[in-house]
Amino acid sequence: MKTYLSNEFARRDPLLLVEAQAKGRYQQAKRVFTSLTPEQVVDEVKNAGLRGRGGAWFPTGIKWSFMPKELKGPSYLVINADEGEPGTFKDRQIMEKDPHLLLEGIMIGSFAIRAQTAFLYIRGEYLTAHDALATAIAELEAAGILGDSAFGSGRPMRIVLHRGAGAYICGEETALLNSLEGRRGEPRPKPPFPAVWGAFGRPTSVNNVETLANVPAILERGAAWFKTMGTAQAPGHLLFGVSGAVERPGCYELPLGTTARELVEKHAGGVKGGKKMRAFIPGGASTGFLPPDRLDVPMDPESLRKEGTMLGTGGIIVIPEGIEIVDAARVFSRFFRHETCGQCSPCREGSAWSDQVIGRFQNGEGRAEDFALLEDIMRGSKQRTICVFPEAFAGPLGSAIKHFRSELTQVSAQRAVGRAATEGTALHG
Amino acid sequence: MAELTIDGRKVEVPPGTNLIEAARKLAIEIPYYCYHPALAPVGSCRMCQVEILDAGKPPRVTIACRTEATNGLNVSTTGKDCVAARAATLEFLLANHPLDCPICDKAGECDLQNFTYRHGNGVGRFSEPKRDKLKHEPIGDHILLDQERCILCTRCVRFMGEYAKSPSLVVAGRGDRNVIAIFPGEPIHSNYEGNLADICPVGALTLKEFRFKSRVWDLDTEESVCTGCDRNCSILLETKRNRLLRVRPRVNLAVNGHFMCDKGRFGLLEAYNPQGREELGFVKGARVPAAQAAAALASTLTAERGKWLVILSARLTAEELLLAKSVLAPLARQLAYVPTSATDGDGILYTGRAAANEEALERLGIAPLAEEAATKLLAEPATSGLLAFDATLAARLLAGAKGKRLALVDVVRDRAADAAAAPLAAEIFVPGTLASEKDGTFINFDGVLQRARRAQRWPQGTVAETALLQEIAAAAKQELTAFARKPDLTFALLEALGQPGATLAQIPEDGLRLAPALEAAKA
Amino acid sequence: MSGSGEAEPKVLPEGILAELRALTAHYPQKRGALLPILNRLQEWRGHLAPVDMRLAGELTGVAPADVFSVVTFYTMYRQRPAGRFPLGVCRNIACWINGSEQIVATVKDELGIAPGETTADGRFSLEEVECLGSCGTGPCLEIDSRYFENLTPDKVRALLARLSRADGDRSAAILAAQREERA
Repeated sequence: MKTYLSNEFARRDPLLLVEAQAKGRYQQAKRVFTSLTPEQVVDEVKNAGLRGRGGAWFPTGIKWSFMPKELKGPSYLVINADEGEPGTFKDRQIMEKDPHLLLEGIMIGSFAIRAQTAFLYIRGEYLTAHDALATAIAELEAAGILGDSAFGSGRPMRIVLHRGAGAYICGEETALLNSLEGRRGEPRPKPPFPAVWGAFGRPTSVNNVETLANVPAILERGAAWFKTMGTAQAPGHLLFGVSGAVERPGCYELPLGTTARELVEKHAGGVKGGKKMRAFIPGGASTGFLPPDRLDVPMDPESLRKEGTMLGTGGIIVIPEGIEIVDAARVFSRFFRHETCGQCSPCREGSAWSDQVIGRFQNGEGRAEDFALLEDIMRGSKQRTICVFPEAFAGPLGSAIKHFRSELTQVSAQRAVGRAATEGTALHG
Repeated sequence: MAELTIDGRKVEVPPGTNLIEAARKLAIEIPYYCYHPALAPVGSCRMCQVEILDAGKPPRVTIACRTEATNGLNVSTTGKDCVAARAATLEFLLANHPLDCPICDKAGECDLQNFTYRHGNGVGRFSEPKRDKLKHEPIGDHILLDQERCILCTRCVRFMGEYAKSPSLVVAGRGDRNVIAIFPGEPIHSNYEGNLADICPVGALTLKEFRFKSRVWDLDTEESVCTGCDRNCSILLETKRNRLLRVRPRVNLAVNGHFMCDKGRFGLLEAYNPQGREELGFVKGARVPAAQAAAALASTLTAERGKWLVILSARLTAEELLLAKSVLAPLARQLAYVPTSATDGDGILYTGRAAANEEALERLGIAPLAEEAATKLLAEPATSGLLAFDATLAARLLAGAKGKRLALVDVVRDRAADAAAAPLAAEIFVPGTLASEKDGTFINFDGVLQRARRAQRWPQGTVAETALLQEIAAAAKQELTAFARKPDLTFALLEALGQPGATLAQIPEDGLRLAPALEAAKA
Repeated sequence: MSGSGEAEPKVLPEGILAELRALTAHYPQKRGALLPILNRLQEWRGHLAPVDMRLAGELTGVAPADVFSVVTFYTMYRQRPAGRFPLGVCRNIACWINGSEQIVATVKDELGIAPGETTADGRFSLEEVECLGSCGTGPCLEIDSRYFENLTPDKVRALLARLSRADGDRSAAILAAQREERA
């Protein structure tokens, strides 16, 4: 199968500009800057049906079309490279191995929304990717591709590389904007939406790394080509991550709609050590657990919605037999408790409280009435806060209860026995 | 105007009004924590959830503080989803709250208590270990922070940044480790710190000056005005057993908005609980009942008509000033006041002129006399003495006119901060009253006349200034019929100010804006 | 103290100050440079002292308390010195499934420190961190955002041994260890 995103992923060091140009890179950006209008670019991307790969799957062309056409003052493209969803490591591959793929996409995207400055917000931990991008941007500046007149078009274009400092919530686009502005990464109430009031109070489009990496290929080969891949509603390839207990964890570029089974069994070599699968997570921590009998679900937004979950970032995580769901759920509840910004009361308190309750199950102290309590915590916080973080922490929590309720009870009961035995020994021994 | 429906009732509000304020107009309570009418809404506490009803669609739960009233909007505050959402928010907020109401100053006026009664579930299911955070930590000159009681509404943070222009309080941490904090080792320095205890909806920010002094329901509260500067902020004086325990601002958009400054708040707390207050009078060094001192003053002024310099004070009510002018002008060598020297204000509320009622002095046409001129006049051989209503000013004037006699009406005989200065030896001392001990009006620099109600009782036997002036009038055989025919002194005052028509009882709560003073009248 | 015998730098070199000033030019509002400035200051000192937060505030027009608020929000900022080589072991799902607990245990065995602790000589500190985006290459450990992946207890022991001998420039030592580990 022909790939267009991951061609350079096997490299050790990032592809340099001269190498990239030898492969025909930046021809689309050049064509866009020198002969197309922003509307033409937006239309092509809209027609291609490209949707945001950051996890929300919002149509990119439509997002761009929200940007004002007539502007007094600057507007910005902001690139969300704050990849942090557990199970997700695809943007990192692009940036570390093939930074120019992203940078060309950024140039085209900026042109499409009439932005002359792009802020590339990369999570602080991705220092290696940061360095690769910094080098690549310097190459472009030296080549005059970025600067006062991109490709001699007379149009200025610059890309500011900006490192975060460790906060999962900054993957939420308005939290990212606050963080970019030097503030706490707290999501902003919407409206106003970024297209009206974004970075530094200016109209802004925030796009994910992989999304933008799709754009040069769409411009090169056209919307019709793009739609030959993937599903009707979600065309194109996706960089699926497969991690956890598999033989060959990694990042696999495949059409949207590929089944989880194909990804896990064929590409990732099946469950590690030939074990059985206890559960899998389809698209990153917040999409929650699915039982192995759902492995044939096609990995696209619509099919997974039917399963009561989401495609998210497409990062599959395999949980093998031998790992208890309650322990995996605790890893996530601890994570979400650690990462909520804490501004909204239901999310701040709900993420912590549910972590405490799951912690009790883990220690053999689960109670029957805790399920109702957990449901109430989720009900009281989902759709009740500024951003969708409660939906994220409710993903693993709700699915653990939905699919593995009896197992949670059982494990807690077993561990209660274990605890009693230990305590008994301590008391009498 | 936007006409909308809330719980089936129509209400008209200016467009842009949020749903909390629109509902308030209908006396419908939408509970809230992070919202404050004087601060930018952040929408994070999630307490003010209501339902938007749209024909053909399921009710949509949203927050009232960030939803603007628009024409035709249909809002429910009683739908089951929003009721459940509010109850859930309360359960979340109470989860880690210490529930130490029995020892909390805020109990009785706490929005966490109040809303829990009215909007909560009535049961708590939180059985996990609660978070440990800092307790009673001083974070300024007046405020202590209890991070465990805090619900992180961030009103205090926004108040310090937006209003007090001193961004010294912040949220530190992330998630459930969030706390209100200061920069390490850098406490609040602001003239507005006291407001933090008022805007804190729970007992997280308490006033050092009020901690453990009283349960709030044991306080007697009266509406008053602050006499700390000539802004005359609308305030509440709260006393227990005649002792002033707390001063708080009261909302008056025409004067002070929602807040007051610390100079006023804590200044009044000292001024109205005065140290070294004299309850007896003095005549020529001998302690006498106040009435006897009053009589001595009356006879002296009458006997030595035209020889005493009378300096009035801005601490007196406008009614007292009116009466004083009428009674004392004919007896005085000169009746005047010494304009208070102004310092720089703080650009927020504090004007820098510690002269609560100077505008009344001006508007009543009482002559301003600079301190030097007053000293000079006092030193002249034709002046036999000074009648003053302010010990501090009297001391300053006498320092430049040694040997002159003094008659003083004030709550203390001497307020000299400088121990080396010669003690003030008044030939006649009549114990005066505090502004908080009488009912009267004050006019601020902007011409807003407000009523201050009597919040404290003066000591038994006191001859208050009004009675004193009447006694002087009687001794001087003056007819006060001009006042006697009026409904009350305030009515007479407003007539004198050229804006007749109201008695004291008729002064609106937020005051009466007087027409700009005519220059002629001032001169 | 933040290192083995390495004197803690006290005065910010002029060169770094100039770098910090230059950062503000990249943003339409100076405040945008706050995180980059804090990142650079922490890289220099090893943590952020109050004086650093004040400086960052001055350069960006942000009140010190506000800078403090920002610093406390982000996981990567430290207000106290860590070890010369601060080890951050990912504890999230994929790394955990693949044995991150063993990695922590190995560090504990080798160095005698638990998460949150620093060795007596100040050379190493240990903490558990959340997902680093190394899910396909876990277990993963980071030292100042340089990743060591596909770890095994043996690899960890080799890494610690190498870093125990590494003196001189800290970043260079980390990069060298990373190169060796990948080779």
